[in-house]
Amino acid sequence: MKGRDPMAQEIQGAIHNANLQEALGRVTEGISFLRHLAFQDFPEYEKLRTQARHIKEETIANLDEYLKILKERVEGNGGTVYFAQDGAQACRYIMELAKRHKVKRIVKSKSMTAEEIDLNHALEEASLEVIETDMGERIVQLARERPSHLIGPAIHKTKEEVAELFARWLKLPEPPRDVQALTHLARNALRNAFLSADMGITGVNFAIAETGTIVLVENEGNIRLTTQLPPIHVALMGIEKVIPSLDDLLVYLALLPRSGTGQKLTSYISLLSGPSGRLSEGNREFHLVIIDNGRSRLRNDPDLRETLYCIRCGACLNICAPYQGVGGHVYGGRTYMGGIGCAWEAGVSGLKAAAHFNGLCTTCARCTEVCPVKIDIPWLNTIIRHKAQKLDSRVSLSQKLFGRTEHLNAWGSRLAPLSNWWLRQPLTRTLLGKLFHIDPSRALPTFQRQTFVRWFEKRRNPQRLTANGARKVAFFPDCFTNHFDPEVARAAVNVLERSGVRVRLVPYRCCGRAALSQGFIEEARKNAEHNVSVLLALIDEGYDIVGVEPSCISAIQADYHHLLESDAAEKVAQASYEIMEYLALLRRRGELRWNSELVSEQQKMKVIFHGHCQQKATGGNTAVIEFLNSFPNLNAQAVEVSCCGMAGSFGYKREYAGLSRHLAQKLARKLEGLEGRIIASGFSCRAQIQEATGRAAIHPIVLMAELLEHEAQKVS
Amino acid sequence: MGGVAKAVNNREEAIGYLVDVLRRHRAKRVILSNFPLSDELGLERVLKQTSVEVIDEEADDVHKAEIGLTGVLVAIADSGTLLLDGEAGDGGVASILPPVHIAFLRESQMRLTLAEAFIDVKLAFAQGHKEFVLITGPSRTADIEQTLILGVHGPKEIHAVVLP
Repeated sequence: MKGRDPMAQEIQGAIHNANLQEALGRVTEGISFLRHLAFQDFPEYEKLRTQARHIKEETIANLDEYLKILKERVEGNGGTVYFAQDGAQACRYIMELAKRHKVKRIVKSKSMTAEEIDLNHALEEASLEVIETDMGERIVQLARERPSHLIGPAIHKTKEEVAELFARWLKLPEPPRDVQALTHLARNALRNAFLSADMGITGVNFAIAETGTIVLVENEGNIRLTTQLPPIHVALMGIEKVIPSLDDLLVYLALLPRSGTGQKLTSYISLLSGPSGRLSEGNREFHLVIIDNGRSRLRNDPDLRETLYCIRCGACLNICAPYQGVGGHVYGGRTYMGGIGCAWEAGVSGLKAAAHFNGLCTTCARCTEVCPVKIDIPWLNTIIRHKAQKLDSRVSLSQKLFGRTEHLNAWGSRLAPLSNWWLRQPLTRTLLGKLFHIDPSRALPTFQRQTFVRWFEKRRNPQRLTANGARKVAFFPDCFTNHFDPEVARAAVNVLERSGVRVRLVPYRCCGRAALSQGFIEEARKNAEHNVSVLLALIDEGYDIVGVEPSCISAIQADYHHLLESDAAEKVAQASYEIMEYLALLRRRGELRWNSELVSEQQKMKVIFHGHCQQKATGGNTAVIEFLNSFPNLNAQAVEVSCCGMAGSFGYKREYAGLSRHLAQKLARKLEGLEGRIIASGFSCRAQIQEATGRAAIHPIVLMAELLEHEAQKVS
Repeated sequence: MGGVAKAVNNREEAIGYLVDVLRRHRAKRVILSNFPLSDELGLERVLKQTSVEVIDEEADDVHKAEIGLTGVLVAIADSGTLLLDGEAGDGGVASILPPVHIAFLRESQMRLTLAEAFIDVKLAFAQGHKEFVLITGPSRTADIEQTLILGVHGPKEIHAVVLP
């Protein structure tokens, strides 16, 4: 069955490639850690990235004006500016320039924009010799491959593979095997290229309009040699690279190196305005080629415009679980990779190219924590998913099923346990696999006959104990908990009421997360509209909104504003909490009058907390950990992984089940050495952990309910 | 940042340090940028006395230089950065082509942060200067298996000689 799906095959190839796996682990986790250290004592982070985003918003909104200034200033500095509509125009301009100057050899430094327009290919067709000079890019060029990471193009190659490539390049029978010697070898060989080249081509990190200056950020020094040695320097940039002023550059220089490699500053940052280099004036030229190539398409689409704010640091790739699992060749298009790459490809290669790998974005939102310009990459991917459905006016049955689970769930519970029996039949699973692409080997969740909502409505003795009610909570029942795991919501109600909080239900209606995850934006919007009006009325009556499932609460907290763009949505977001965040808040306010010795000396326990991705992105996880650790004798330790790999329905889909399991294994390995009960707030995270480790995982509120129950028994 | 910052008390000590580095590398050829402090220190004379050849940047054998000498516009303490001003004679390849780079500066050219240093950059722009480079530690790569290697395309060794 897997053979029919090319993406599934590519994924299998990547997860079984041991070298690739080792390299991906080293790079993504290594750089993520360095990035983390770089921002650790950096209180300006939030302020700076807000600023960085504002600058981009303002510049892209007035793009024509800034490009005009840039052109004038660069020309004033003695440079030449050429605007190219597309890649072909840009390539033609550079080829004609080369022809005019009888150029034979070109040295080039890494430029994703050049990759995008296939510049090397065009130049080589014209019998020009093009030599990449960035170490990683040279390796990729020798291997005739494409970069697999924005800042580390050759991360997928081992040193043995590099040695072989260098041996062929330099005609060495016995190439060295250690990295130092390999690098030295390349340095010497490339020296000659630099000295004899007639033209140097670079990309651009930023172009400052007010001074007509291009800025180049690097570590190796090859960009400096490319710009300073040959008589002609051609710099290639997308229209989005312009920034207004030198002051703006300061903001980006504080963010880009830290985000990209965890450095305060990279080894070299060049500011060049017009011709420069070792040759005297009159013997050197500078050409700035500014390309559109689909960027205006992104700019004119209000939903995709923020793609153009990207400064290409790669932080989103390093933290992305599917990227960590398969790398940029599988999770990528012609040029760009990962979730942000999907939006880039939508602009430069079209929607169809983007749709090909769009499914790999689980919309877990971990990338939104690290993006230095606060791009909502999961939202971009949701939009593309949505547009792709319209594109071929065909929605897969699988998307329909996973996006519209509400009614299905209702029947599932009504017919339980029969529905569960039916779902376990091999024939059913084959059918579900064929029709809906549900992986037959995945255990499906079990419908509970008594849903949480039914339990709540039928219970005889609500508001037992104190419930004298300064605080009022309207409990948001989500689909997963309601039908599959009602115990968790019961525990939450229990704990709230024991804490003197009055609890009522929010009339049940799906938050819209399921629809959103499949790209059904209109349906999600309907749910959001309904829920916001209901929730707003409750909030106005003094209720706080509380739920137990982070994916659903985060939909209210983080996605409704996209769907509705209203003040009401904003207000509802502000008053909505995941249960543990809510308890932490009450505790901080001194409203949680629990025995601070909730866990006795004898009960002393360790728990391992697996955070939910979307809750991490909204900053909720830290509060949970802090709350748990505020009780003596209770020690909570977070396990650090990007994502468990289940991500709602992602792990159930046939195409992605293998990758999902692969990611679960990573988590399982980390959990192996850790003692204690595993707690996880996400429903699908718990299912994934149970399958991967054989150990049970519980929602932290279930633990809290147990502890309070124990306490109550002690007292009585 | 992997470079050496050497504080000296006077011209003699600065020259002494330079001659030491020249000797250690058995340098025969250097690229000497045309920066103001070079004239004050009489670097050209010193090089002549130690029979080191000064290579012109435009010459074909420019790559044979073992050491490059430059001044700086300012240096940044917070990040260990040298900020060179092309138009003040520090441009070109002196700080990038030879395997060793020595920069000379006065204490008064020290700045605390990048933001402070940018005030100088703006002033220089206002005077028509247009070309700058920030150098923070030696040239480096981690492109092969994330192994950090220094001195890839640029210098492996950087010295900043700070005069009062």
